[in-house]
Amino acid sequence: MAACRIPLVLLACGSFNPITNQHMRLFELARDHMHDTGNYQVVKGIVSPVSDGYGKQGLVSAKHRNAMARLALQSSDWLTVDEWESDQPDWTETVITMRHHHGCILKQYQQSTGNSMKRPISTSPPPQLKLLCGADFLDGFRVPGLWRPGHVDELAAAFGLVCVSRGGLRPERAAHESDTLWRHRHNVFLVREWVRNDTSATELRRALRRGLSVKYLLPDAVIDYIGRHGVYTDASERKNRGTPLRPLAEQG
Amino acid sequence: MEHQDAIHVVLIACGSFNPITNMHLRMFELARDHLEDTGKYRVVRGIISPVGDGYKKKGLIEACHRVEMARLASDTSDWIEVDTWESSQPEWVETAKVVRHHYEELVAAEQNEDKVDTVMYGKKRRMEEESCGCLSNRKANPARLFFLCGADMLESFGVPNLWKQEDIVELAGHHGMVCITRGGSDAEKFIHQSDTLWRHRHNIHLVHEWVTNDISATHVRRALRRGRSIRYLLPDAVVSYIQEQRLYSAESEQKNADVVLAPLARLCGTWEMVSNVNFEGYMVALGISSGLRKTAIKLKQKKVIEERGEECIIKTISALKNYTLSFTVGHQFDEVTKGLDNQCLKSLVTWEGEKLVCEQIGQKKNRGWAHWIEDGKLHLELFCEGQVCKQVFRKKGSDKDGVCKSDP
Repeated sequence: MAACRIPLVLLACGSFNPITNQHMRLFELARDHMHDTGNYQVVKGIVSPVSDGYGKQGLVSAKHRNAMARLALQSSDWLTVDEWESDQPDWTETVITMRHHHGCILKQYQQSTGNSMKRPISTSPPPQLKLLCGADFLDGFRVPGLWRPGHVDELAAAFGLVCVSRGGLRPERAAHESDTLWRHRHNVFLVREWVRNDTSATELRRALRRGLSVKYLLPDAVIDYIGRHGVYTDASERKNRGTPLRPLAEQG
Repeated sequence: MEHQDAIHVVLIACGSFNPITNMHLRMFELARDHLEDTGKYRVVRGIISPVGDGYKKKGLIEACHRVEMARLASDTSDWIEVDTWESSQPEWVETAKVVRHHYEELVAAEQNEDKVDTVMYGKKRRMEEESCGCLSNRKANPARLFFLCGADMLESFGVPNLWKQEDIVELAGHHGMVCITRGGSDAEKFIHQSDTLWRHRHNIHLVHEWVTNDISATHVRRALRRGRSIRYLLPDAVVSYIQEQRLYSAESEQKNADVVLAPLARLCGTWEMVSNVNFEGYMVALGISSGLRKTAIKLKQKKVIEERGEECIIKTISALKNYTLSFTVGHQFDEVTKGLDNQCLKSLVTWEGEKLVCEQIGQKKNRGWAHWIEDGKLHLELFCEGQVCKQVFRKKGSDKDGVCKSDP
């Protein structure tokens, strides 16, 4: 379409424990929305599962979470899994992960355009990286100790956010109440989802533990994988129980 | 888990499936989990029965596409399948009739197990045998057919004239229902408010959906018209099929836009007479004088049919005189044929399939009429003592006949 559109990479960080159709919907909705602005061309979506060091209750090993995400995304021509974050021995702050991916994207861009001095004017501008998140993500900014000072600012200013809401006005309120987000409001994109879909990984694990069907809530290939490897059990749900989340533990 | 004497259940869902979404498929999964959890049932099969094109709902695309999409969607399931009996009927078929048809098939299959096994049930029956091996039990405990629906269907049972009471009794009473309810839905209230449903409440299984999943086909069509992504709302195979066949556009959404929904609503409107065969014979049978007959036969009649709450009003308008009849389906009433043959009749209007039929009891034998829609026209048969007058009316302001064109 327009040659001046900015190439955009969307990055989603999270447990993906397991990945669900709803996660993939967030990407589809965000892409439609960003295309609709007329300014962006979404070129890639990255799913970045958190490392085992995150310490969340019921978090199964990254090996499984990565494998399930790969299976779920194999039929997509623009979504991929990246294991850099989960490969880190400790939990990585979101902004650090974004810096890493942004670095990779710029490197790739420079390689493809050759020497930047000789770059013809017609080539597309350098790609941007924005964080894709769900409705409740913005609330996290207000949890004391969850975010390092300066990180929220960097996230909103240097990168940008695409936040998909589930009908309510929660993200709008959170964006309004945060001075940082308000300052960078032109870099905070709120996407409205009109189909109510409350599929959460927590509910899925609950159903799996109870032997209830989860078909059509996540791809068949992922269900097969879960069954074959017995990923979610009562024991797996007890993992990390009583352990504080890694970002909060750092403070204490 | 499973009881040796668990009753085998077949679930059937009727609807437009325009297109089928993951939500439709989830309903089957939720229903099966719920029924099997009771320990009393074993769900052996799920039937998706897309409605026929004769339903004429706005935006309803051709049954061949809807059936194919449902087939693709159920391809990865080892127990859900599509049945085309309903969609291949030339006219709209009432849900109770569809369910009756499948129940008869089920009974026939049970009585004729070996033969049917290989022909109709195929892989599913064989799989079920391997895991169960208890065929003889079913003789004592015949399989049941449960009607699977959402809470909106229960609500529709309360809408006057939309359903025949005996159909509700048949669905809820004779067969049984499984109703999937969402967070804020009032399935319990609908049952409480309907005497019929309340009587059969033990046969209505309410299933609470633990994950609200509001993927409506309407939403999917809207997203498609606007060029938005629909991925992960329905199976990939269906998404591909929609793209390949270029289904669902602004144009397809206008399909049947001028047609009102079956059953009573379809009769409503102003209708102009196109043909009138053997009116003379009918009037003779009524004993109408030759003078009046001569005038009446030349008249171009008009019918105005209205629905007011529970009441249906049929006005017959002509240059000579007007005749108004108002009634409630299923309630006998006194009819005075003033200005016609001036008789006092005991009349009762009921639905016979898609036909609105009236029996008029009085001095004349076998007297009555039937209204129905065929090819977008209003057909009326008036009968009395063996004479039948056949009239056809065209909807006012429509020069096309309302038949749904089928594009290849």
